[in-house]
Amino acid sequence: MTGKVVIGVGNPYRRDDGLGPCVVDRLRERGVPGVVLATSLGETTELIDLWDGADLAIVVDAIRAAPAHPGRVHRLTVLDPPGERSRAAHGLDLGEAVELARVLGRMPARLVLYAVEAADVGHGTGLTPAVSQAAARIADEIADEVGLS
Amino acid sequence: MHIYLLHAPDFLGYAGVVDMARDHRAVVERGLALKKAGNAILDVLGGRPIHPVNVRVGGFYRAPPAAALRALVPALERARDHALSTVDWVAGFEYPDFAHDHELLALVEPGTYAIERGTPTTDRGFSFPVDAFDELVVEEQVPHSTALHARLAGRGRYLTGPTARFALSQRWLSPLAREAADAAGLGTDCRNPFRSIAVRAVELVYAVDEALRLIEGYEPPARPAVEVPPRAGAGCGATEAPRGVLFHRYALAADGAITAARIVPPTSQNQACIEDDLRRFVADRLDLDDDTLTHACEQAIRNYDPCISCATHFLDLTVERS
Repeated sequence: MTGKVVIGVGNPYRRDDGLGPCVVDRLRERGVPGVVLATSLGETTELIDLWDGADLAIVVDAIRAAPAHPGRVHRLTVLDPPGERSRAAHGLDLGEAVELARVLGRMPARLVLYAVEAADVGHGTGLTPAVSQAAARIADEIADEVGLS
Repeated sequence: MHIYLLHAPDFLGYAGVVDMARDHRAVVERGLALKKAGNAILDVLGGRPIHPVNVRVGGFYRAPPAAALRALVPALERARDHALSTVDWVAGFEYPDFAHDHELLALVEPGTYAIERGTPTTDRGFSFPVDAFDELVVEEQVPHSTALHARLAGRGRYLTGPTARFALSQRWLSPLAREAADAAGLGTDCRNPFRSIAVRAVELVYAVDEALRLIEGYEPPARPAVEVPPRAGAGCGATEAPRGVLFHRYALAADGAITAARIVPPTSQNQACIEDDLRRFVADRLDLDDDTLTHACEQAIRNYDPCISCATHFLDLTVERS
């Protein structure tokens, strides 16, 4: 595969954890021709399969931070992956997916991570207001980025 | 995933799959290829590779065309070779000397290595219909843990999962899987839980064989689903999930609303046996230093359940030496 892929990581039934899928939904609504749009629960091998061979992969995920500033966006490139990692309940996490992909030579040419601080990851659907605003902002930013690059 | 990403690194002395991949890249690639073959089946049947969306009450929303399934055959034939190589690979691991005496419970469906249906049966000759599961499998809180412990009423703890399936259904493995089991030295009984990784590998061979057999005989059904009009009632079912028997029971109101549900996962069924294994495993290894012992205990847990040891943020070991 070559080209661009946007991967929204998260569970829409855990409130703000649904940020990634929400951003992908927004991009799908506005239409970004030639860009693969995917959602994932963040399982290692699935992430690697999704971004393997891509020129540009953009991963969007919600994070928990302490102290939290809900809606604050961190944009990271593969050169500075997050130091603190949360561990997924089943399988491995995003940080480990990056490390494994590096060892196996299955990284995309460019990997960009949008990490947004969450306010509520309890059961239920819908994003909290600050995170929802961040989702709209990121969708615009990504649409510009994949349109230009 | 259990074999390659979570369990094998233990046997080869790596902290995790990333470290293992540095030295055994081709092996890890093989594991990922196997997983991808499984995902491809789900993609065709379920509409997407994980968390399928094509399944509905009464069947499927859409039955796949035969051509879509037959297109999977070349990848599955490669997967079968990968599965056989997996058995060879894990058969060469060094296994700690350990054996348990738990009663083994699995679904049994004569003529087939039971996965999606069967009668709950133990290796000590006890069996009961699935609809008695609710009554006979008792889950309890215990003072020392937040995890539920299940037992068979009037019998006590029991073990479910690959070694139980193997003990009860191995005669119905496909010839190739049977051959692989023999070559791996699994014999007729496997009471060393560390060897469960080899049983899982044999089950991979069987699963790929079975997928190829089903595809070969597949003709799309006239209708992908039967209509299921809502009515009041209760129903239950059990399948073999990778970690063991999984039981569901639901009660429905006249409009189809679910009024009661009970799910008994392998986790609670195996909990008492895992704890018993740990107790005995540790008792024989008190001469080990704490780090080595902690790692050995985590490995003993991953024999059954790779999720427990990290879902609880790794094992805190407190040894009271006297």
